[in-house]
Amino acid sequence: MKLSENEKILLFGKYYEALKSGVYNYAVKMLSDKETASDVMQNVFVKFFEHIENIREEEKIKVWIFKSARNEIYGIYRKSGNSIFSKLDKTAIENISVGGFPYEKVEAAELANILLDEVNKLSETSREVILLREYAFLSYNEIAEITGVEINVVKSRLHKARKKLIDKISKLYR
Amino acid sequence: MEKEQIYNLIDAFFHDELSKTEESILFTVLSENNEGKEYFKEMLKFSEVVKLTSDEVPENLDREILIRTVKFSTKKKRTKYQLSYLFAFLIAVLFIFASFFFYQKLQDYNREIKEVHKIVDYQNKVISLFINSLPAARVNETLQNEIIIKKNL
Repeated sequence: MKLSENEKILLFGKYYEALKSGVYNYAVKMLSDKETASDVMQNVFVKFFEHIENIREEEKIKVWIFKSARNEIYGIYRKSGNSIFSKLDKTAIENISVGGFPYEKVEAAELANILLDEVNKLSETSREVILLREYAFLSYNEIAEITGVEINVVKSRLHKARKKLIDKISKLYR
Repeated sequence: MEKEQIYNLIDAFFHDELSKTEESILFTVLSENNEGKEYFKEMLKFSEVVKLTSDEVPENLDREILIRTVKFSTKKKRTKYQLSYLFAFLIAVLFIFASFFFYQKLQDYNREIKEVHKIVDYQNKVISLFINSLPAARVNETLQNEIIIKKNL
């Protein structure tokens, strides 16, 4: 894509606003560390701005950004030798603001806690698929392209992982 | 509709992937399918809990990223300008060298022309000397090979 400086800034702003939450949540929940996730996010978006003209089609930008984030995350794993199954950051739960009654907040916090524990227990591949679908709102095709597996495999992993999580949550609120 | 298809539709609904028509199809199907309805409720609860565990991007991170991209953009602009200045400078230097080179060439040609001029002058003088040293030409009064033209009557 041949872009002027203004077009580049506009395109960057559009995709940054649309994807920042997804990328941040994916990185935070994969790395279990907000500071490292922030570094990943910075690197990904600055790299995106630098290479914005090299991405041939606009439709590929979303996949490009998540692939770049994934490479950064796996690079950190390789460097630190840390397992992907490290404990998830649960600071999001502390900031929960739901309902008018204290018991509603307690129940929501409990559900959130259970969900994060269960996500933490998932296998590396299932966990990644859940994060990309539920937190980053990516389509099956996009997840398949990012993770490098067949679309049917993505669907089956997602279905199994989600069923596990739903079962756990359902037990609590029934 | 098969169970699998209903589940896929529900999944798509919670990820904003359904059109208005597909949504109305889904709700019609759900009104007649208890299992689907149950799964829909579970998905609703699940997506609510997912929302609760979703982290918000810190404002300082937003700012940091913005600053870094603006820095990169201005640095690139500056480099671009610096490159164009450098290019202009190189062209100017090239022109200076070219004019110096052609000036030298001109001087050389001048010198060569002067030398050739000197040689030609000298050779002119030699030729004049040769011409002057030749004996004087003699002109006879009578014709040696007389041709008589007669009128043929």
